[in-house]
Amino acid sequence: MNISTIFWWIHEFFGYFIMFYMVLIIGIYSSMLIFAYFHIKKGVRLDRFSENDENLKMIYSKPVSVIVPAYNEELGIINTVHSLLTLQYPQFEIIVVNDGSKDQTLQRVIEEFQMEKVSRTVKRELPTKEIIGIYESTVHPNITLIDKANGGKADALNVGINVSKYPYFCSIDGDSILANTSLLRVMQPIVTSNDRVIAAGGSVRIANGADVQLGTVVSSVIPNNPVVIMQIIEYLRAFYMGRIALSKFNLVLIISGAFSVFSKKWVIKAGGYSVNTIGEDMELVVKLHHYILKHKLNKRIEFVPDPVCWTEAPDNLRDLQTQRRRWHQGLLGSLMIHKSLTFNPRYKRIGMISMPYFWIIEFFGPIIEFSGYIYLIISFMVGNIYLDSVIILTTLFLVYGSFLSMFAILLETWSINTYPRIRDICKLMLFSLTETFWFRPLTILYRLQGIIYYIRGREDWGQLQRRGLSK
Amino acid sequence: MIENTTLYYALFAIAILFLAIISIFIYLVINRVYQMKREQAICQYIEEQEDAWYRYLVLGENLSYLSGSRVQEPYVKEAIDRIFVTYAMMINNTAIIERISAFARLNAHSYYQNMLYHRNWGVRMNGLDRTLDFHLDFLAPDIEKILKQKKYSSMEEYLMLLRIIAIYNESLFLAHFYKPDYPFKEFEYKSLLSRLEEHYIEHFVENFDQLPPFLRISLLDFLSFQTRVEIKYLHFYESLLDHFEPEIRVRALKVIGQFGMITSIDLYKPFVHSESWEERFMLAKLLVHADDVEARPLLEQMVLDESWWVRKQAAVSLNSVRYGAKVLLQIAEQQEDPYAAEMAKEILGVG
Repeated sequence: MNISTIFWWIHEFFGYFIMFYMVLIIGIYSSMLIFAYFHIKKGVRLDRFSENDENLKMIYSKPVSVIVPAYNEELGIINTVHSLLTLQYPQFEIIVVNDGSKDQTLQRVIEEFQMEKVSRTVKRELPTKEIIGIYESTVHPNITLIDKANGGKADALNVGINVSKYPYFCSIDGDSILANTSLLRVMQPIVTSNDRVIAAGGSVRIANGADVQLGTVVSSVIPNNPVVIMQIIEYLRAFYMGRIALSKFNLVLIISGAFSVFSKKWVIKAGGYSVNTIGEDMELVVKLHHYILKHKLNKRIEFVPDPVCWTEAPDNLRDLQTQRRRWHQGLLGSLMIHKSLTFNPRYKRIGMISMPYFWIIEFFGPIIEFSGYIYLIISFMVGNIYLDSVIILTTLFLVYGSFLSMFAILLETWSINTYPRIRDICKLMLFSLTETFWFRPLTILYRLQGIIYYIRGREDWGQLQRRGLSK
Repeated sequence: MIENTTLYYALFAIAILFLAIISIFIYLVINRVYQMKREQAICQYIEEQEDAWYRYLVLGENLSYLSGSRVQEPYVKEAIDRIFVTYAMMINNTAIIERISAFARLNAHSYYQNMLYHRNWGVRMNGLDRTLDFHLDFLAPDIEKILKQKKYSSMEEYLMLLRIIAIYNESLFLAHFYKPDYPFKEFEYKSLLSRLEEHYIEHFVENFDQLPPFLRISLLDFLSFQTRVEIKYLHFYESLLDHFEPEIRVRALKVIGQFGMITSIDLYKPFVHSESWEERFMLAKLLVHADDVEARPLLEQMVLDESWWVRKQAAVSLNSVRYGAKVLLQIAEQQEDPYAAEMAKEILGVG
């Protein structure tokens, strides 16, 4: 057997492997799409929230502590808190946790909301870095500001949990803006399930290009920046396709850190946020599932598609690279910590479906796709494949990706209808056709870099440049 | 090597997917155009007729032209429905609701009736919402029929049907309420209780021990959100303090706290040593309504409680009873229990 035969065998094997992977992915995504379709279609013409206030107060009798961890968020934090103040919810408090910011975050919050230092004992149910000071607003009695030593987002959230006085908490990124009914909507599964649901997450939308005034998104249009447009499409696809189907079967492993609610009791039992990982949001959800299954509890974690949280997306490739790198690094970190769950029948659906799904589709996805690109190039160079075949396969990738994107846009118009202009739909459609040629390969490279960072044990986060959402 | 047949399949798949993309795109655009046209027609009607509707709904003027032939024009019923929803939500006055109902009976009977039988769940739910909010009593037979024939597909729909039938058919409602088709827990009972008339609540209070367990808990929670000043309710709550179920005792303590009065401190003293911290916590909270002299020693004991939550609540309550601050100051200065001292200092604001 000579080298060229071995090469031929490897090449052949790899070709079939990629083919098999593609069929698998198409199968999984298509079935997720069907579930999402029926789920969204059901409520497509429902007028939401016709309940009067009195009933809401009685039924939504579960008060919520909204925790906003902030590290160098001086540009966005005031808008975020203003948006939280407009929330329609019977009883909630806002806890801003300044995680040792080097900018003016602390001062800006103190000045804007007229905060005064108070002495308050804190029950340390979760171990955290030291609290430097606690401030309360003299104008809004439900805002508290915590100043603490820098310890990362997870540590800041744990401090927020310790300080919070209500049985549920909602975590919001310091640069995010909530629609005023979002808290009611995201708490709905918890309230209506009679506490069977212990955590719920909402959809995240990109606010670049939206008109934000005093913490409220007044109108949204698709901006002209291609990096942002591609992310809008990507977010719609991720939230409308994957998560609805996963949530239906209690398989959700990621509910967005940008906007989610948790039952405090169970989070404390599971040990709170882990401070040693990047991607603490996924890590907490996996920990909760781990705890639920270990103690054989009948609890659920859900994704709710229509409560919306607006966030600022990276608008240039460098920031996008940092973001994607750390997402993938965080994903791998969480998967590695909980690797004992993978294919472990004791952990039922999470062990047998969720974990393998995240390993095979989410984690290995970029590696296999990258290999696919390399395979096509090598095959073409050694003459095993003709140019027309390359074109056909690439087109298949392209149209399937665009099909999923279009479908997600359709589901979006049926549920929230963020972008009502025809011009915006055309823009989304055209850009979704270009994804395979530039955006997809780039994000694959960034995610591969995340794997390399993980292997080399690098823990630096990289700081994203905020521009602030207000105009 | 990629075989030719595979490539043909790929080409076929591309063609199908491409067609699907184009179809979705065309659908989206047509749908947008239709939506815009509809929205325009609705807005135009509202703009033209809002004064007339104000005069009919709020001032009660009899304007026969509102129910003229224009009602049959496309989108007009939707526009009128939107006006009704806005008035019902914003003003919610009995006379306005009566006028909405009267208009609907004469001019939009089949419009609202069709909503109840629509194949889309969202539209059915909207129809049920309107039946309830606009008091569309002419649809009561339809609601009964839907319930009897079990033509509902979700808990949300079932709950709405029960809320409506509670107004028109007491026996049918109670039959479902006690033996629901879906398993009812706290949320379901609470959302129904909030819409029931007073005689139902009195009936449940009188038959408390015969109620399903979740209904008992929900009823107490519901009562704690209501302002009921009759002393008979206090007697009812206090009668539950020695109930065998801990959950009922906690909720009874909570609702008494909301009531804002107690009859005798002796009923409450045993809870200082209760095994459940929730009971001790609720006691600490309600003691602000007791006599100062009787409450102080109990709260003083509870500031030293092993539970942080009880300690905190006891200190807060102690600070609000007469001479309680003095007691707190003593606790803050003592050395034996540093946790209690710290809590006392925080509440006094001298930390």
